[in-house]
Amino acid sequence: MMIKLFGSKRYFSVVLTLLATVLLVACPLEVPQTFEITLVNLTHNQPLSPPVYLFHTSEYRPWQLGEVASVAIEKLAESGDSADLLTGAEAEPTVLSALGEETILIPGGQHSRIVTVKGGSLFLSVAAMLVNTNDAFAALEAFPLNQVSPGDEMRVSLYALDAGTEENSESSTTVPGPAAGGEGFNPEREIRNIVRYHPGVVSQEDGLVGSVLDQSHRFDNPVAQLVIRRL
Amino acid sequence: MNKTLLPAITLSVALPFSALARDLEVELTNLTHGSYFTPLLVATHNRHLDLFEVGTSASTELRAMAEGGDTSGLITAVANVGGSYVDNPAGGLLAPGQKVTANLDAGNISNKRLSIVAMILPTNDGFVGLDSLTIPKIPGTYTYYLHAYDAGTEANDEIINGGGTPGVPGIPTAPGADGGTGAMGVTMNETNTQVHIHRGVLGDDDPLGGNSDLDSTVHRWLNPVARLVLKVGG
Repeated sequence: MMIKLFGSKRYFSVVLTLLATVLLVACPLEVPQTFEITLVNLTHNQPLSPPVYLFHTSEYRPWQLGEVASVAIEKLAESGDSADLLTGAEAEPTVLSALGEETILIPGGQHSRIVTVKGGSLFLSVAAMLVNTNDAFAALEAFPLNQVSPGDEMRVSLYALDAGTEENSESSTTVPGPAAGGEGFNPEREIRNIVRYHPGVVSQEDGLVGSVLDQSHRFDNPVAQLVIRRL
Repeated sequence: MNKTLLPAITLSVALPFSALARDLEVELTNLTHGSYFTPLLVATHNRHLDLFEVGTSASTELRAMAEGGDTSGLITAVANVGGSYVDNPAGGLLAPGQKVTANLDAGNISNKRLSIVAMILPTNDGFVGLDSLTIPKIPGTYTYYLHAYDAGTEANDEIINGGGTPGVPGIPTAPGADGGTGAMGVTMNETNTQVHIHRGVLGDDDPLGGNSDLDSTVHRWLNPVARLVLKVGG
């Protein structure tokens, strides 16, 4: 009797384990996940170029700290042009959804949208240029969306990265935003050609001769806030 | 009889310790635009040690690290409380954008804290630091962002003159070979003499003079200055 009971219990637990495994593996792959994402521009006078949202697996990275930026990231960071980044991401099997906003996000402004993505373990990366800079972009790097449970909401800070693709001269000919109207993308690279955190802008009022920027264009981290609500 | 018992007792005492010892993998990335980290000290220790503490005067050991990158005094302090540590995991300077991994056993069960320090070059007495983070009990991967601190022991004159000995003014060197010369000096005073958040460097755009030998478009930073990815083993 004891032996039989023990045996059936064991069988039951094996079935449970199997069931749990099937649920764990199959569920996220087949059930679409829906998120409401809201991006807020926290800077004083740095409009953000139309933001890009990339939903991807753990294998994909749109950029890597300490590595040379792709031309697609260079274009986004120097001119706010997200076309190459979106086209490239759409062609990647590890990117499950690539979305680009149509409009600029003004300081203090916010964009909100609802996204439904089919996928297992999802990560979200976000990028948008701080347009009154040489090559700064507000960035979220592979945020694990499994941290947000259904019905929950999380607030995530975006920091300013330096694409490392253009010297931070702040000159009127190289800053494309409304502060200057200078050149956007230029394929030439700076000597320190790697992605890292941005040192902030100096501005003419802090002694940088040749800077077209004034005190209003300075910023500190975080530069944007993303609110992720899982529906 | 005694001879056979003894190893068994040793084993039963040793096992719980080895089961509780935590393997840590520390991955640190220099996030700054153009600043280097001197040889890092990564240490686990008990609650009786702080490598640094904001709002207090820097110890002589901290001062030696912050002004000249010399971690030997802090290493002795870690050893004195039975801590474990990795000295200089990058084998020299950690350049902007680069990362380094250090593996260590937390050692003694009372070593529940993790601390990390390294001087930031070129600065007078700036350092990147993590002060007594409580190591998470649950195995997993945790990410933290580290700030830049000012030891409060030397005026931030921003003059590169080789001065790295405690008490000697000036900045030892600009490892990126992007520093200037002939600066007049940004300030001769250090009004906050406690350990505090670094206000950042000023720099200027004159490599042969001006107030600072630092380049305002290269050597400034915003916090955070480092990213720590901590993997806690089972």
